[in-house]
Amino acid sequence: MSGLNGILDVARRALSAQRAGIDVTSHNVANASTPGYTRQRLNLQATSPTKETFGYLGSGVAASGVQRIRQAFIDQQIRNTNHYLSKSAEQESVLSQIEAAFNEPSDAGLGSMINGFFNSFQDLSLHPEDSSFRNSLVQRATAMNDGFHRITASFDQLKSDLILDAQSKVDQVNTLVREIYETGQRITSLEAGGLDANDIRDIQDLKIDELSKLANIKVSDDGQGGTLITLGNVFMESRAGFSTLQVGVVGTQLQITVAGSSTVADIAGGELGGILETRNVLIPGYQAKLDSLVSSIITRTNAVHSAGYGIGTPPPTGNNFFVGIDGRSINVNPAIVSNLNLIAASGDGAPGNNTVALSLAGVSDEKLLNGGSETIPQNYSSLVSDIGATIQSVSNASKSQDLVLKQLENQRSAISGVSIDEEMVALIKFQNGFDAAAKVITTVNQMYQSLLNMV
Amino acid sequence: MTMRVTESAISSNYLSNVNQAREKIVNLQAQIASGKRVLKPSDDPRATKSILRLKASLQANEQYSKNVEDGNSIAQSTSSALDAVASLFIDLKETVTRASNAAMGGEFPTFAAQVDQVLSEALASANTKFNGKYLFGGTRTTDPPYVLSANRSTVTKNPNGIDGTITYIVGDGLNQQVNIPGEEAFQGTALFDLLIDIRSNLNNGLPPTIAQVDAVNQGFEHILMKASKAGSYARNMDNLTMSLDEQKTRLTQFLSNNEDTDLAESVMQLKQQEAMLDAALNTGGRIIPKTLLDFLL
Repeated sequence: MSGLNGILDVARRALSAQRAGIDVTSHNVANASTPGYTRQRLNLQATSPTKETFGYLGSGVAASGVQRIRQAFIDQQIRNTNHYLSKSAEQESVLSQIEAAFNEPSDAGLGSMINGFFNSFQDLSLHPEDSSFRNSLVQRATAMNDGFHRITASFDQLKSDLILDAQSKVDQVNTLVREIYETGQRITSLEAGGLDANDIRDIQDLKIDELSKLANIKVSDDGQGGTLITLGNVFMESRAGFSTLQVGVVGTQLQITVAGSSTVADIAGGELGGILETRNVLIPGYQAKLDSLVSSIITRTNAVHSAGYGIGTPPPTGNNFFVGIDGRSINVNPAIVSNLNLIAASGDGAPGNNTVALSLAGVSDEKLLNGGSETIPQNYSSLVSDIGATIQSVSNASKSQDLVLKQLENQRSAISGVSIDEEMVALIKFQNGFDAAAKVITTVNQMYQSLLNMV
Repeated sequence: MTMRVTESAISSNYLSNVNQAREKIVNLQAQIASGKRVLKPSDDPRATKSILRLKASLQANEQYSKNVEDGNSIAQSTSSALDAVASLFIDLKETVTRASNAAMGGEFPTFAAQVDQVLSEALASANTKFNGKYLFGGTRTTDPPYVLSANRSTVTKNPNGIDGTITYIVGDGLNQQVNIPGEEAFQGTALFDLLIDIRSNLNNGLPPTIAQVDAVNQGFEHILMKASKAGSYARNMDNLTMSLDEQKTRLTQFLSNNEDTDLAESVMQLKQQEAMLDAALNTGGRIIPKTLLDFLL
């Protein structure tokens, strides 16, 4: 296909290829800050040459496809990092609320109240015979009990808030999974003709990224251009269909199951993983520790107190100081609140005897907890510092995962992101190509003119 | 391979740097403003444990000081009540010595009246009440330890016993007795019985026997000894007050080391962070707007 018409044909194809290049560049620039957008590249190819007597003559250029520049490996790493990061960030935010409830270290924290309570038995030991000194003891005991009630209530509140939280996150998971499935269906139909549905794939990848923040999903390729998503032991999505999750409470445990079956989704990461571990393991653990602390305060104080004598003739004895068994139910015995003379300071009924008051004050020095290795105040400060250490470690984890994620996102951006500079260079390149092709046409036109003028 | 650097990478890096700098500044500001380095347990879990322990020790220290102050006043009152009895016995010694001289027989009723006076005053001291408590009642602090019969011929002690000792907590694992029970201070009722016997002898025209004179001397010694015992309790607690004060200073210092912001260092760090934030903002301001577009005509 030689001759002037042949040259015109080459130039025409060149014009349309350069124009397509500008199209792709324009699309890239337009989406430079679109989340999840992957830069696209126009693949150009020289068309088949024609054979002349002196050799093969090129027939010009043709666009062979529009390609997404993306690396699946980095996607996988980003998603893995996402569920570690989201898990620790979620735990950090929940545990910080527990930390705030303890209000330590401060002079108004529960620790001061516990010490204050036992110290007021020393006050009692100074005036065992005088009922007017007993009111402050009951007040300080009540302040301590209120502290336990308040913290227990905040544990309970958090546990029920976390159910709602899990519910809304599971709703998000279900929506995302359904959208990923629907996008997958579109991709299948769009790609049926053999062309790449680049922008729709970007949308699907973005939704998978979102999903990886919520739970520790695993994404693989089904070998035919579709995705296969699993979550622990549970199938979530493929081109064949998708699962829906639901939230339930079994006994004291929050559980996430597959709707319409009894399969429990074993979610270890992502925000949902963080919620499950905090709700089912960490908070109950702290609560159990606090309850055993309270329980030893109650039983030990009662044991010492009931052996002592109050004020009266005959001096009353055998009364418990506390009622209740744990942080929720601890209270000063109502009989004592209404009759302060029942408070036992005396070991033998003599009004000035203070031995029981001294023993009660000494309960805080007895190693009653943690297998006989910790006193009540020590056990309390261990609990507080345990919570602090856990928060510190999840916070450090989320900080370092955040750095890793930044690094990976930079890598992804380095491969897939739109660089305006680069696009401007491409624009100029295609524009010059376009101009040059147009110049070829002008030249051919002039050649035609020359020929026609000869006639 | 050179890394492609995209606009979105530049802006997200820039934002994360600025945010980090701001976060550090906010934390430093909170530490400086509150004066506390540890605002919540997760700031420093190990220091939190120490802080809680030190705060508990400070609370205990405060309570011990209160106990010691209270115990000290009881011991001092006990000591001065016994001193008063001792000085009564000095007069009594003179009276019985003079009465032992038979030539003075005519003055026996006067001596008897003097002895009776001593009996009244000694009993009043033995029944001293301090801060609502009978000092010499042992642990029976609400009932008078001694009762003189209406005919002034017998002294009986509280039948429930006046021998209980009272102990206060004055330090970690440290107890201090604060009272001298009446049983110990006055040998039960023996000292008062002695006075009554001497008075009856004098009323019956008999001089005090040698044994009685000796007993008065020994009683005086005994009271003096008990007064100084109470005095030694009080001195002991004075010393405790001082050591508790020292301990408090030390604990407060430890607490401050664990808990308080090192102001100079924090302010310096704040300045550094401010400079870094300025730098981040400045470079961001220069680099972010720049693209090839600026140079294309």
